Amino acid sequence: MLTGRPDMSPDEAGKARKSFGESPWVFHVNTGGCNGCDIEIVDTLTPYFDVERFGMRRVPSPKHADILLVTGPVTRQSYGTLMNAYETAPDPKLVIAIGNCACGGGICHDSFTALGGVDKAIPVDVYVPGCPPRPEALIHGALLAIGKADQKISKQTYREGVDDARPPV
Amino acid sequence: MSGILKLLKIGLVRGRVTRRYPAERTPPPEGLRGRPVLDFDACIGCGGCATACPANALTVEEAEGTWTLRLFYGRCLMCGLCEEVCPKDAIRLSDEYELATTNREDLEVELQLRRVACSGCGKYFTTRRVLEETTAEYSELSGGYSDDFRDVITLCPDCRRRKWGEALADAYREARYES
Repeated sequence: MLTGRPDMSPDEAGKARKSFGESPWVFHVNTGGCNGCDIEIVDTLTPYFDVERFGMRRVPSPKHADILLVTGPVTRQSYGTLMNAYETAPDPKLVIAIGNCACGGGICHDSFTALGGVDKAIPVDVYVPGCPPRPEALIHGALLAIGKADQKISKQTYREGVDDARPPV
Repeated sequence: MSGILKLLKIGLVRGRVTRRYPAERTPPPEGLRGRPVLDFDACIGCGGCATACPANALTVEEAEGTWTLRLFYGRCLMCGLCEEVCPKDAIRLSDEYELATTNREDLEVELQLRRVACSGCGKYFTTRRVLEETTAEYSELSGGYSDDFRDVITLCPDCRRRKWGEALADAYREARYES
């Protein structure tokens, strides 16, 4: 769950997670998105949705950040910038992929200029899909990342003949 | 100082504007396009939604005996084109928007239907539910179900074309010999 430190012991990870619950500071990286998700992130910082109730503040440098908010499909031009920001942020850190482009490539998933998803470049902790996600969805994702909310959807599978009641012809 | 007083006045007049989101869930606005939800029992497997999907969030994989529709929420734009083209209303946009997950697999939906084999050449060509649907519609329109229709509908498009071509050739030959 906590990226950057896969060798972390459960005790250390628990302490780190507890510290994230207090006041995680976020740094925002745009990796070639259309700015729709960025505007929604700004929206969550306004008094209307006021994410500072949970101690979250947007900081201007990844050196101060606990959480990286990544938007965009990771274009080839922005790959280096993203890796710089990821390596500069101190461990332990969380990565939240915001928007369709960051989660699975979005409409740029088969483009030759983009990697198609943040998880192709760096490990991701929480995916927040939506094009763009609503500010409430962003708050839900942030709370899920720091362990204050529960996940609401899970994988669904259905096989005809196994999961249905209709008799075969 | 006057600036602070001005802000204080605005604050006192307007009161609290912040939504208490996680404690109180604000009702979604009218006509919100949330995540699409599949009705597994209603889907007949025509594949129209996968053709219409602009971002390839819906994809179809045709294997030997199975037809699999995959929906990946991490790519879905919630545009509603799938809802528009679905003939059975099996895919609908809901008002759920809290889709955050810690796992990529949790954003997937998988629907697997059975395909039927051609009675002529044995090639798999369409899903069982499409045949059922076509049969039901035909029976309704023509007021009954005939064995001729069963012979035709269980053939794949290639075999059907060949069968009709042969029938046409036979009719032509007969007509020539008679004259």
